Amino acid sequence: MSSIIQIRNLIFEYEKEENGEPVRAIDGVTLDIEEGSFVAVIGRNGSGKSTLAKNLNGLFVPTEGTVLVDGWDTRDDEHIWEVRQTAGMVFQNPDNQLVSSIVEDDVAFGPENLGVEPSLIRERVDRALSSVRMGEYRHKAPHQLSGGQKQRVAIAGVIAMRPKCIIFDEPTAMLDPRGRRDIMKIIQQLHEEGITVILITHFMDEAVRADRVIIMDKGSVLLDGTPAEVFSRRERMLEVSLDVPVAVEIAAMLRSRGIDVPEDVITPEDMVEFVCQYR
Amino acid sequence: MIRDITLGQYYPAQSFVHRLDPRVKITAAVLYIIELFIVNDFPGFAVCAGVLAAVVGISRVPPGFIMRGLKPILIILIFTFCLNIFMIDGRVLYHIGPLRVTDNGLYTAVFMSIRLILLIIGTSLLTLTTTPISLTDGIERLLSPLNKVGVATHEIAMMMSIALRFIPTLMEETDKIIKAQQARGADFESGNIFARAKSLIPILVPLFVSAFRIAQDLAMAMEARCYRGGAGRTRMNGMKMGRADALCLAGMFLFLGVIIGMRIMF
Amino acid sequence: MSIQVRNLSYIYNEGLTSETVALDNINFDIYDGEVAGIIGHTGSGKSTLLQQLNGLLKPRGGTIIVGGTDITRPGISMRDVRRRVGLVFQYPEYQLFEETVALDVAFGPKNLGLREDEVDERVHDALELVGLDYDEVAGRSPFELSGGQKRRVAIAGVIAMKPQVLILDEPTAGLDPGSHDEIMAMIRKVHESQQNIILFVSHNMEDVAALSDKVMVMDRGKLITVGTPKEVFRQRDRLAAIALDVPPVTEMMFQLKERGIDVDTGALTLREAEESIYDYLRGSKAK
Repeated sequence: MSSIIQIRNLIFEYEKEENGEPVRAIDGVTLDIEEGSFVAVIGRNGSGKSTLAKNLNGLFVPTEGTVLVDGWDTRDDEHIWEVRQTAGMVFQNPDNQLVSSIVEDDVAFGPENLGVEPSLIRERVDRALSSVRMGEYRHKAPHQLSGGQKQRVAIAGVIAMRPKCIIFDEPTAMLDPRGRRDIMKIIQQLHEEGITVILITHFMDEAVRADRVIIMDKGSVLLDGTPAEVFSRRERMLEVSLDVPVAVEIAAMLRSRGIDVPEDVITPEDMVEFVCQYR
Repeated sequence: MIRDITLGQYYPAQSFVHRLDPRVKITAAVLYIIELFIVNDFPGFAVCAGVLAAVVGISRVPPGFIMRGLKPILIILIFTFCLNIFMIDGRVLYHIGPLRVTDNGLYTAVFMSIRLILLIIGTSLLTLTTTPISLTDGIERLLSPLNKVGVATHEIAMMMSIALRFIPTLMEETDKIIKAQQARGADFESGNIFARAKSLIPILVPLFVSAFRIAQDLAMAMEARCYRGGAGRTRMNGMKMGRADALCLAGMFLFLGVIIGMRIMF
Repeated sequence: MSIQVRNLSYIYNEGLTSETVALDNINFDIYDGEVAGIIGHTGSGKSTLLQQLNGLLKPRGGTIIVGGTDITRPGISMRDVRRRVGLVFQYPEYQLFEETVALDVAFGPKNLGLREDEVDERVHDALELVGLDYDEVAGRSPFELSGGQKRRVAIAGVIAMKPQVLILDEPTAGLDPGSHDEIMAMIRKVHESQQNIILFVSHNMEDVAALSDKVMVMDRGKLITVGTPKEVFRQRDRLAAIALDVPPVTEMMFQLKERGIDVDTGALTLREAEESIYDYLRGSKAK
C-alpha cells in the first residue's frame, strides 16, 4: 500500500511573543500514514498530538523537516489548496467550525471555496448530509442542533470536499455519550468507505477501534503499532499518565495471579472470548 | 428576554415572497422606504398599508409573529409620539398639567407613528422571508459594482453573515457567564451607575475571551476548508431572476408611480 | 445539614408554543456528608435541577430545603443561598476574568461580604485544597495556566465560598486522562476536608460509580431512579432504554453473563470484576 502522508524529521516550534524563546511542540517525528488506514493518535495535553494534526494539512508548516500529503509538500504555497482538499479536518469544538447560519449552506462552504460547479455542489451537499444522517436538518440553524449533530454537520462539510483523508482532532471531547457514539459510527463508516482516518483522541475505547495506534509524548512518538502491540505496553502508558483499556487492566491483574491471558486481549469483546474458552 | 426579538429573524415558510430573488426583495424594500417618506397624507398611508397587508398575506408569516417584533421598539414609538404631541406648536386642544396638546402636535404624532410602524413591519418582512445567507448574498451582488472602486464587497458580506451566524452562540455564552458569576455571588442589580458598570467586568472579560477563541477557531476551520476570499468562489444557490421577480419589480415601480402621482395631484 | 426536595417542578417558556416541562415533580433527600451523582443525557433536566438548587432559577412549584431553610421562599437573600450552596458550571475556566489567580478566587468570598483577612485566608486554603501551590500561582494571570490548572482555579473560586453543598456540573468534561484523574482526586479531597454534601453530574459512569453514595437517574424531566451505584447499575437494560450506559467494567460482566458465564454483574470496579473472573476461571479449571 502507498502512503498518503509522509512525515520526515518533523520539527515544529511555536513562536513565543515576548522573550522570543520558541517552544518546541514537535521534536523530530517521522511517520508514514498508509492510504485507507485508520490511525489513532493518543497523548496527554501538550504532548504535541494536536500540533501534529495541524501540520498534516498545512495549517501549520514545519519549522524543520517535511510533510508530504499525497505527494504535495505542505510548504509549497502553490499547492496548499490541494493539500487541504486532500486532507480535511474536523475540529474539537462543534460550534466554532460552522460558518453559516444554515446547515446546508455550511456544508456547501468547502466546495464553493474550491470553485465547484453549482449544480455539482448541490449533489455533493445532499450526499454528504445523508451520509451523516442529517438530511432532515438541512434547513436548520446550528444553534438549534445538539453538539453531536453540529459535529455531524462539520463532518459533512469536510466530506463534501471529497478528501482522501480526514483528520479528526478530538472530535468527541465536548460531546455527551450519545453524540460520541454517533460520531464514532460515522468515523468507522468513512474508514470502511476507503477514506484514510487519523483520529486524535484521549478516549482509549475509541483508539482500540483503529488499526494502528500512535502514542505521542513530549513531541515525539513514544509507541507505534497495532492496538494489541501498543496497549500491551501497559507500564509505559501509565508512565505518561494515559489510561489503559479496561480489558487490558483486568488481563494484567489476572496474569499477576498466574492466569495466562494472551497479550492481544484489548477490547471487552476479546476478554469475553477469552473467558468463554473455559466454559 | 433577548430571545423574544423577532426583528431580524427568519421565518421559514414556502411562499411566493420567500422564493423571490433577494436582490429584488432588497430593492423592493428600499423603494418601499422611499415611498413612505414621499407620502404626506393619510390616504397615502392607507395605500401603503394596503400593499403591505397584501404582501404579508402572500408571505404566510403569521401577523401575530410580526407584531411581536414590534414590542422591543414600543418604547421608541411612545417616545417619538410624546415628543411630537407635546413639542409642536399650534391650536391648543387641551392641557395635561404643564404640558399642552395642540392640533398640529396630535396630527404629527399620529402621522409619525404610522410611518414608523409601517417602516418596521415592511423591513422586518424582508428579514422574515429571506435567510441571512441569501440576504448577505443579495447585498454582496447589489454592491458588486462598488468592487471596481475598491470596496471589498465580498469581505463585507462574509463578515455580516458570520456575525449573524454567531449572534445566538454569543448570546448563549453570555447567558452562561452571567449565571456562573451570579453563582459566585455577583450582583448586577444594586448600587449606583458606577457600581453597576463595574459589575459588568466579570461578564465582559470572559465574553471577550470567548469571542477571541471563537474567532481563532473559526479562522482555522475556514482555512482548513480552503477559504481564500471571494476570488474563484462559486455558489450552490446561484441567483437567477425569474418571471416572478420581474413581476414583483414592475409592481413595486407601479406602486412608486401611484404614490408620486398621489403626492402631485393632492 | 441535608437537602430535601419536594414536588419540584419547572416549565420553560410557559404559555408559549415552545413550552417544555423541564422538571416534573422531583422528590429526593440527600443526607449529611453524602456524595450524589446525577446521570441522564442532554436535555433530561439535570442542569435545570442544579440551577434550582442554587437559586439561579425559581421553581414553578415545590420546595427545596437546605439545612432547614427553604431556599425557594420569597424574599430569601440570595447571598444566604449562595453561602450554603456553591455551583461550579460546566467548563468553569471560561468564567475567569481577574488579573491574577488570587483575585479571581477572591471574587466569590468578597461578594459574600467577608472581611479582607478572612478572604485572603480562604483564597489561600482553597488554592491549596485544589492542589495548586499558592506562592507559585497566586500572582499569575489565570489565562497563562494550562487547561487543567485553569479549571482548578475556577473550582477553587467556588470552594473559597465554603458552601455546605458543592454542586459540580460535569467537572471533568473535555480533560485528558491525567487531568481527569487529578480533578477526581481533588473532589475526594475537598469532600474529606470540608465534609460537605457533593452533587455532581457526569457522563462518565466509572466516575459516578466510584465517587457516589447515591446515584440519581434523570430522564425527560423526571427523576426515575435513586439508589446506591450497585442498585442503579444493576438495571442495565432499563438504563439502556434511555440511552445511558453502565460502567465499562460492568458492561463487560453483563456480556460475559449473556454468554452463560456465571460472573458477578454487580461488579463496579476493576478489582471486583477481576476477582469474579478469577474465581470463575479457577473454578472451571479445577473441574
